[in-house]
Amino acid sequence: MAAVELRNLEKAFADGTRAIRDLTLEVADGELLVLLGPSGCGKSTLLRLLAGLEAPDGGEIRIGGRPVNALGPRERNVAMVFQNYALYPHMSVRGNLEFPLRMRGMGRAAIAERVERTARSLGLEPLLERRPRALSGGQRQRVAMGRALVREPEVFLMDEPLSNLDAKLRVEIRAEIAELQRRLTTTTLYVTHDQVEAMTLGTRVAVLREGVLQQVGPPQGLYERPANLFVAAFVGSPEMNLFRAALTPDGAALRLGPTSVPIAGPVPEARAAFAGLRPEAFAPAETRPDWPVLEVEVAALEALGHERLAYFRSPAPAVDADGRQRAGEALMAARLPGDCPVSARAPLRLGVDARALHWFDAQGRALFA
Amino acid sequence: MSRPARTARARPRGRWRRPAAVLLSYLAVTACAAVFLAPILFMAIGSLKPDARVLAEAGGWHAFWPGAGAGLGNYGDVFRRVPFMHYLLNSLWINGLIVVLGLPVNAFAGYALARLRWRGRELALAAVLAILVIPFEAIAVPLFYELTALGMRDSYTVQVIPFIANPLSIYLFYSFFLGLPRELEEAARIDGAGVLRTFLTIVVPNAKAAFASVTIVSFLFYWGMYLWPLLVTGGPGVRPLPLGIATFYTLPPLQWGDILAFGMMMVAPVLVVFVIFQRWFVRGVAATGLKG
Repeated sequence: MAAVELRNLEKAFADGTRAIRDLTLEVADGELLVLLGPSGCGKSTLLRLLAGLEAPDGGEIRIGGRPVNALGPRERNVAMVFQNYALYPHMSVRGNLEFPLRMRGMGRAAIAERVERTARSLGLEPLLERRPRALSGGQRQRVAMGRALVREPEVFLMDEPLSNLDAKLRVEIRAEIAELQRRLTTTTLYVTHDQVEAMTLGTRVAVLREGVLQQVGPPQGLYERPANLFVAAFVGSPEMNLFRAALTPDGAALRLGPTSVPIAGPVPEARAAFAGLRPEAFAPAETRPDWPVLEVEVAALEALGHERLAYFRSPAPAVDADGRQRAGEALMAARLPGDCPVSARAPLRLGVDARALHWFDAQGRALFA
Repeated sequence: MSRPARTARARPRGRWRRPAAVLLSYLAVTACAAVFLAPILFMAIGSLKPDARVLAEAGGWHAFWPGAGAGLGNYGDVFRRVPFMHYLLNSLWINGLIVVLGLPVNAFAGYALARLRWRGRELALAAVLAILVIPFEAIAVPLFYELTALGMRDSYTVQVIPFIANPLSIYLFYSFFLGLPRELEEAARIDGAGVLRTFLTIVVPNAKAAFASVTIVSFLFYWGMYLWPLLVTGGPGVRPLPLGIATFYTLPPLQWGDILAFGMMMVAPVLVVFVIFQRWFVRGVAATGLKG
C-alpha cells in the first residue's frame, strides 16, 4: 500500500487538447479517492498516467514516495479495472487470475494458492474454469476485480467499473467494492461520471473539468460547500438552481422575482454575482411560516414516491455552470415531501430557506465557502 | 373485433408475397453462383471425358454432362506424361514456406504499424498501401535482375523470399489489430507483460481470424503464379504446378482432357486449405465475449 502524489501534472494530446492541466493531488495511503467529472474531463487520462499507459508532458507522479514517471506499467505495481473489464477472452477465469502472477515469475504452488484465495473471497470458485464469454456482466466485473486483487498491488485504479452493469447490480457491486476496499485498505483511485457512485464510495471526491481540478473534499463537503459554479451544478441531482444575484438597494436581501429573501449570515460583498439554491432549500410555505414566500406556478411535476420534484419558471435570470444566462425559459427545481398536495400547472406557495443560499463571484468562485 | 378480420384478409396476400420474393432472390443468387461455378464444373466434367469430346462439346450444355465413356483415364495420363507429384510437392513446399515464414513477419509488421509508436510509422504505412496497389508484374523484371545478381536463380529460395513480406497480409493484420480492443493489451502491460509477451500471449490467440485470412490469401497468392517461376527457374527441378500445366502445350498432341484433370488436381489443395481455415475466416472478434 502506498500514498499517491501528483505534482503539477500536465498532459496534452497530439491534436493539442490539454487533457490534464497543472494538476496537483495527493491520495493518502489506504484512501479511496473518487475522480468525478463529465465525459472528456480528463479523469480517465489521469488514471492512465498513473498506470503508466500514458507519459505526462510535465509534472511528477509518486507512488509510495517513489517517482514513477520513468517507469513502465509493469514496474509501478498498480492494478487497473477497465470499463469493459478487458478480460482475456481466450483464457479461463483461472487463466485470467493467474496471468499477472505468472508475469511476475511467481512459483506454480504460490500462484495456485493465491488464485484460490482470491476466488474464494470474491465467490468466483464455481466459475474458475469458464471463459469470459460464458459469464454474466456482474460475474465478469468480479473477475476483473479478482485479476486486480490477486497481485496485491500498491494502488488500485478503477475506470468506471460499474458503467456496463444494470442499475440493480450496480448498487450491489458498489457496496461490495466499498466493503472490499475497507477490508484491504489498498489505496484506490476510482473514476466515475456518476455522482451517486462518487458520493457513496469515496472518502474524498475530486471533481475535474477540462483537465483542471475544481475541488477535492469529502462528498458531503462538496455538496454543502461547492467551491465554484461548476461543482455546484455538477454535484447534486437535480442540480443546484443557479441565478444572477440581484440585491435590494440596502444590500440586506436578495431579489427573487417579487420576493425579497433576507440575507442570513454574513452579508455578501459587492463581489457576489451569482447565487444558488439547492432544491431542498424550498419547502411548502405553510410548513415554514418563518421563511420568505415565493409564489410560483408549477410547470412540471415528478412524483418519486418519497418526494416530489416541482419545477417552476425561474423568478431570477438563471445561469449555467459558466455563469452564462440560460437560453429560453429556465426552470428551477424544488424538492418537496412525497405527500405534498401539489399538481402540475397549479399555483404553489414555497418557503425559501435564506440560510441555504450559496454565493459566487463573477468568476464563478464561491464566496464564504 | 375488426382485428382478426384484417389479419385474415392480409394473410393470403402475405403468404403469396413472401415465397415469391424468396423465390426471386434464390433465382438471382443461383444465377450468380452459376456464372462462377460454370468454369469449375466445366473443368471437373471435362476432366472425366475422352479427349476428343472435350472441345467438341464445349459450346453447349453437353459440356456439363459426362456422357458415355467418362472415366478417370485423363488423371492416369497426367501422372504418365508429366511428373505431377514432383510439381505438386514443389508447390506445397514453396507455398508452405511462404505461409509459415510470412505469418510471423507480416503479423509483426501489422502489429508494429497498428500499435507501436515509432518515428516514420505513417511513412511506412503509406509505403505498404502504395505497394499494395502496384501489380507484381510491374516489379517482376527489376526484382528478377536483383535476385539474379544475388545468385539466387533456379532455386526454392528465389521463389519464397520475395513473397514472405506481403503488403496485403500486412494490411490485413494491421486493420485487424486496429480493431482489437486496446484495453486487452493495456491490461496485459499493467499485469506485467512486455510488448513481445503481450503480442504472443494476448494478441495472437485473439487474432485467429486474421491468421486464417492471411494464410488463405498468401497461400493463394503464389499458388497460381506463372510469370515469376517462369522468369527465375530453368528446369523442372524447382518448378511449381502452374509451369507443370504449361508443359502440356509443349507435349504434342494437345490433350485437353489431361489439362483439365491437371487443373482439377491443382485446385484441390486450395480447396482443402480454404475448408480448414474458413471456420476462422468468417469469425470476428465480436465473439470474443469482451463486452457485456
